[in-house]
Amino acid sequence: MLDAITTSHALALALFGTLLLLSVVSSRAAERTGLPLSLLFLGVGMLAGSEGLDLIAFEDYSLAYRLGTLALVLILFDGGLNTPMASVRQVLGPAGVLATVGVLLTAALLATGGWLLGLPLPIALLVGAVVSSTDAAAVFAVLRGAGINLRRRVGLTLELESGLNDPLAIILTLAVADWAVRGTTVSAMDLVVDVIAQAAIGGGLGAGIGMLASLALPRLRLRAAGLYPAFTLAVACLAYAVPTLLGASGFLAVYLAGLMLGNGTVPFRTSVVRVHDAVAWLAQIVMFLVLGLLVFPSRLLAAAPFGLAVAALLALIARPAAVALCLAPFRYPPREIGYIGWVGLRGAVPIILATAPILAGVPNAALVFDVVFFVVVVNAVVQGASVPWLTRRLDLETDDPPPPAAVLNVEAREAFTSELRSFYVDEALSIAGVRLADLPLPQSVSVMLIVRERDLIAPRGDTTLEVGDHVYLIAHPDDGATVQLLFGRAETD
Amino acid sequence: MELREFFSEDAVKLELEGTTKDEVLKELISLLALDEKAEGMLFKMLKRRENLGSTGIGRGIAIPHCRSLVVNRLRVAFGRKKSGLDFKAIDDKPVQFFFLIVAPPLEVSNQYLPVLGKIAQFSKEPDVPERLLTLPTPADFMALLEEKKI
Repeated sequence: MLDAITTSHALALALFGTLLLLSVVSSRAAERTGLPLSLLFLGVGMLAGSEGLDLIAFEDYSLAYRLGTLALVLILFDGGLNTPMASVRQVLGPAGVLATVGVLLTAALLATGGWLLGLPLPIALLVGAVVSSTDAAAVFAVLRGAGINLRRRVGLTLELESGLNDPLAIILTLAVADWAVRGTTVSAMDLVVDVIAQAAIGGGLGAGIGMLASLALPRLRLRAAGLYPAFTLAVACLAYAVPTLLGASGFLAVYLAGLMLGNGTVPFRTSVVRVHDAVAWLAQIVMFLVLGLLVFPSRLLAAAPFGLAVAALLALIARPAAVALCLAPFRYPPREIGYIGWVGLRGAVPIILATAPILAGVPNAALVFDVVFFVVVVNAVVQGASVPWLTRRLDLETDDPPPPAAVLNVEAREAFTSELRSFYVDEALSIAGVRLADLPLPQSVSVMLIVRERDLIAPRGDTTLEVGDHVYLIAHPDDGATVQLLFGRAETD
Repeated sequence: MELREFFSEDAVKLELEGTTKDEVLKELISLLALDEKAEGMLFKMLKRRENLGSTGIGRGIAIPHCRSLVVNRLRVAFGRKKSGLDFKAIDDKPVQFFFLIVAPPLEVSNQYLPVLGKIAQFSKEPDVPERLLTLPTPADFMALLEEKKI
């Protein structure tokens, strides 16, 4: 008996390990082909599924939804953790409008279009709500693969928008699914009030939990460095669970909790962030594998006409129109508006959300899943593949420097007053071409290391700073202004 | 060498009219009395430096600076805008006082960084923002530099 359990368990692990390995290795292929990674993970899942090599027969929407939710919690928390507050402040207005009004407009336009195309009203509304959120990670993965750095403000807008709009899309989908099951008892006004209340309570609770955790974390003085990421993972779970149990948006909460925590003092920050990055990657792979398993290519063919029409409607009308309207008050140049309108790639959220109507018991909900799946794939292939070309064509590449070949950081349990930060030596800086001994540095500031291409250079008085160098400085925050005057913005800002 | 020696009254404007970062930068450049093409090149370089991180160092003071072929010696200018301007300064507060520094790419006298350091040091003097705000004439600006002996 025990032998049989051990064998079957080992077989399951071998299968999981193989699929995981295939997904990880396929990430190299994504870099070469320019396809979003998510699509390849999805492909691996489909290959293993019952209409592929038939290794795993899987049609458990409930389990897929649970796994998807857990994955989203981990991914959103990681997103918040890695978002600097300065970036949030810079684009909060436009990203906030895109994530609220933009989501509603996209959903409404798509629902109208879908209904005109002949989809039943509840299905059209659900499709609109489900595909209304974007996934900036997909855009960045494609750009990174092509070796392109996107202009800062455009990148930040897309990134913050995608962090903020998942919760609204989720609230909207669950509300519409609820309405579709219960009939016409809910008025549009009630729906709006419900959405606002869920977002406000979820946002407040998430920010509160994040702040509390941020206050507690440096004071805990845990015995082992490895316990810190365990603590932050617990915070992520609680930040989702508590608001959800209270009927508010757990997804907005978990993103804001990550944001608050990431912008506070985190002991052993680099290790904690790396654990969350790894967990988020794992979550993403597992989620797409599972969603790939859940897809039946034969059924997709039936949904293809609607799927293609909705994808075209989303790419050519709904998203561009919503973006143009939302960004009109923010003085973005037309080409940036056009770009943001075109590259709003869809990721895992719509596919996970598409399982919700099935679980809620909405009649004909499998059609929503198939149409949405189709839209996400077409969107990833067509728009995803055009991202590098379009970025160059519209001249939206940034002059931002490449990251250093080596990274130096201080890992500590305590927070220190002075900070170690790196700066890129651009030719427009006053310090370019200057000997270290000639720098008018304040007493607290010291050059620690220079990374020059593949060389690590020990700084001496007669070392000259060259364009392209990455300079590591230790400085007291009181001297931040002088440092910025000489070296510009730190690379991590 | 003291700061006073680098400034002249005709490169001081106490009522800047520009209402945006770009307009103020152009107005400061115009104090150096260069030709139009040189002004354009200088503006581009200053913008590039600002994009690397604002030169607004707090307390209402900014020190836009760059090296450029359009000058053959170190040039400086001062401008004041009493109502202040959003310059993305490090303390997020509006900037009222602007010190412009432009140095040639190859500088025999090597004055660029020392002057930048001296202006930063001058800006840290506790009474400087208040005194700059109430200056009645460019001559008083020169007198303030003289008095501080930096």
